[in-house]
Amino acid sequence: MGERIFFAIAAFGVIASAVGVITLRNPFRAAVALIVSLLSVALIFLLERAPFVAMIQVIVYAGAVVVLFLFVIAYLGDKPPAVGPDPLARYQVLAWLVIIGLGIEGFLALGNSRLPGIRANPFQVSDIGSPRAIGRAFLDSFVAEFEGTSLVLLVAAIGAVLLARRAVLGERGR
Amino acid sequence: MNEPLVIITIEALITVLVVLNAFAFATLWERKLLGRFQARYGPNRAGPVGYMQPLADLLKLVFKEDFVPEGANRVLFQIAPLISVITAVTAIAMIPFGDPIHVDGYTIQLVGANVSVGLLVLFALSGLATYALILGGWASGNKYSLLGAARSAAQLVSYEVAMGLSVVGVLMISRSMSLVDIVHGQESSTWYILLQPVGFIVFLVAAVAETNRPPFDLPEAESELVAGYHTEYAGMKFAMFQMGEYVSMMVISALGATLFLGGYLGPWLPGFVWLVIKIVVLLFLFIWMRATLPRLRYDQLMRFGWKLLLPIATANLVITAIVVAVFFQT
Amino acid sequence: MLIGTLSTHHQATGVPLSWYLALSGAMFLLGLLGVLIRRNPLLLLLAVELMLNASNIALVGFSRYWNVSDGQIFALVVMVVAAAEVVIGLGLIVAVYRQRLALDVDALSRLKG
Repeated sequence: MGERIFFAIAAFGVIASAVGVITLRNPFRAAVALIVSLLSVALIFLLERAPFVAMIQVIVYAGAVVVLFLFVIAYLGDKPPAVGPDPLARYQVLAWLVIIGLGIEGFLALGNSRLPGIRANPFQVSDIGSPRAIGRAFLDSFVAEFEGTSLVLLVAAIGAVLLARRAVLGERGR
Repeated sequence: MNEPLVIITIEALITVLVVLNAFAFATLWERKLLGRFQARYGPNRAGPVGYMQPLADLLKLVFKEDFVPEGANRVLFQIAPLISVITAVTAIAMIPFGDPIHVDGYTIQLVGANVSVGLLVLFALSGLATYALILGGWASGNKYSLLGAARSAAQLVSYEVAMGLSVVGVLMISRSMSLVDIVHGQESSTWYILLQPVGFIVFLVAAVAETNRPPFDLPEAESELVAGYHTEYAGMKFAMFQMGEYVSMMVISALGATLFLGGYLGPWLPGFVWLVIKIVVLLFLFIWMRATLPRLRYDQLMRFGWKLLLPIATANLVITAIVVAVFFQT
Repeated sequence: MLIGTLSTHHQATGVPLSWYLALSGAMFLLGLLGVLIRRNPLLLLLAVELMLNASNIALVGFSRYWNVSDGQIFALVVMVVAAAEVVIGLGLIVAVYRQRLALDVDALSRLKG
């Protein structure tokens, strides 16, 4: 019972702040809404017996990625850039139709799913979320993914440095 | 954590009250120590040894006008100091203060929450503390605040990486992220400062930078950028920023004591007293560094963090990994 | 704290997998709506983050359902990839801004000038 109440609170936080992210005009406030959303998702991870993933979510996502966003937003200035009227305005209704259609389809798929126990109370799980379990899984079964992830990070870091260098060199030419 | 709710509430209340009082006297101690370092007495007017000084300061700050500057974002302006205090005080729940004690048939754990990822929770909370700076600096509606906040946030993010790496050596030796397990590990072997001296030094330097203390306090120093991100804060909100800074200083000292100095371990005195002694020693180091070292310029600060501290931490990590893997394989 | 005391007789204890999937789907659709509607590339990246987090919720939920760590591993990989993508995306946005171009994905979608 306590779990369901906790889930309800966290899920409300997720959905409410997600609505805020996609509706707020001011980029700074949208980023703050994203922070709330990410912290609520971390709570959901705790419910799903994933404490390590939850903490990494807070440290990496809420603690670093959104800080990057805020830096760029502060750099670009606060007022939304003055763009003209939306040339694709009349196609927006298609976006809404797609979302509503996907929503109905998802609802039906979830309702008719016959995966055993999908709507029942989950049974006890063993230790799947502790650092020990994650470390074991990475090194026993998923070494390739582990190395691939480090490669992705390296490439992203090199890319970021190159992008910054180009910009600095470009400005020096003026 | 199977204690009744009542005991948990009492524990939490006692801890918070003790910490808030400790913050008050830490400010006094710092000012007196700084005075002594500078060949003068510290505050000694308010009460015998000046011990009423924190009360006087608190009264002054409480009676100041509590305003929100024009052009500022009201909600975020008021939330920023709260974030600073909340993240600092919540971190105390992870620090173990002693072995479980037995009272009245109950077994009381002397730690708020013994989770398998206790160390990561502390890092997560210190990562969230950067938002107090960013939101406070931006919501003030003041260019200097924003600039100070951006610099401060960049500094925090940079030194957070070095701090994390310095701690991984300890993790490899203790094989657990739970702070209680780390203390038990030091009980069976030695204090980890002897096994990880480089790690301890890197952790200490990164900790000073993480708490925005001198010599890494350029973004908030009074003579630079008009006090940076808390330029526009006065009265109780300023007091809350100060509270957040000192409490996070105490929490990081407690973390350093737990990771490297054996936590609550020590002969014949109760564990809690030993931990306080170790925290006081580390706080003394913090204040000593403030009194003696000149401030680093911002680019020197960033260069130091990325080009000197991070490679040292990484080298420590690699060497520790090799030694543990080759010599201590179970 | 209260979980142990109430779960012995009550039927409703845990959170079923379908609830996690419903939450994940709703969050994903909100993110998708944001991506389709927003024109400022910064706000678009924020909506993409919503979609990635939604998929993480589903992954970790299934990981719990099958009692394995695989889903959590995949969620960590997704997190890393998302962080890398945000870094590059923000770098591109700053580069576009420095060229004095308008920050509008509809206008930037035509490779002119």
